[in-house]
Amino acid sequence: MPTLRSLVLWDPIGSSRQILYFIGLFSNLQDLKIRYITLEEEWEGTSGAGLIPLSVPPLCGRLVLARFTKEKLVKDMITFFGGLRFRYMDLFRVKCVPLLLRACADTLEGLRLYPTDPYGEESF
Amino acid sequence: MSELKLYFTESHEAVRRAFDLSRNSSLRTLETTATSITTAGDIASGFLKTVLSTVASSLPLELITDYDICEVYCYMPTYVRLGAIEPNKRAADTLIQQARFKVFSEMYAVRQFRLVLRVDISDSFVQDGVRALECIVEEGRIDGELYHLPCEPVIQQFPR
Repeated sequence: MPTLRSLVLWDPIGSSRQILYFIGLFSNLQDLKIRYITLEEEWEGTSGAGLIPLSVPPLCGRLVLARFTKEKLVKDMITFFGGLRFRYMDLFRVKCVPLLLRACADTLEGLRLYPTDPYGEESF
Repeated sequence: MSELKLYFTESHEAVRRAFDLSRNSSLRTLETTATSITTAGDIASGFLKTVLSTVASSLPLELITDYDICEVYCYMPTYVRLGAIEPNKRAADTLIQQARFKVFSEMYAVRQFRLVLRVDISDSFVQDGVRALECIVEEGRIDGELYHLPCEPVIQQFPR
């Protein structure tokens, strides 16, 4: 799927490395949307620990995350994709907002947020 | 709503830590939704003002607020509403619209921005939605809530 530019993952199951590997299958991917139905604490198994993404997609478009607690996935994306370059982010109930904002410090042009977002509470 | 409110934060410092935009040098737009402002109630203004206060980018900033059909329903023509609006429902809705404009005014005091009110409604009713939003803005002018807002709101359609 080299021409795919936009990917939506609803409630993806798997370790961060497995999801990262899947994302890396699309070498021209620009937009990424990951939505979880329920808010669950991050749990990370060892499945796919040795998987290395096959490509480094540009990921320079829109990032939409909802009820997202997989901070390790974001850290792996930064490591394996050489940073993040999203220009727009839509974030709701995302655990790693500061990490995302720092990673896209030079590229972020638009941010969508919600006053109903619980983020900022000490106990997530 | 009380259940939802359990999740909302009232700690400005926690919000500032989570949504610190001081390093985002290319930031041009902040977006939110009319529904989330209303649902968050009293917390909305503090939340948005705190986030806005962290913006360090010197670029002109746009604040875009999306209105779905529920937020403009009372102002839609009768063929869309399929029924009459009770007078107290309309009055309650006017108060909600005024409270939202007050949030915008308070935010503007923190940092200047261009206010964009965007109609996020399916194509069939989008023109009715634009007219409904124009009515809401006009009422805001008459009621005085918009006088505190030096910038003239711009009404747009959600890009599809």
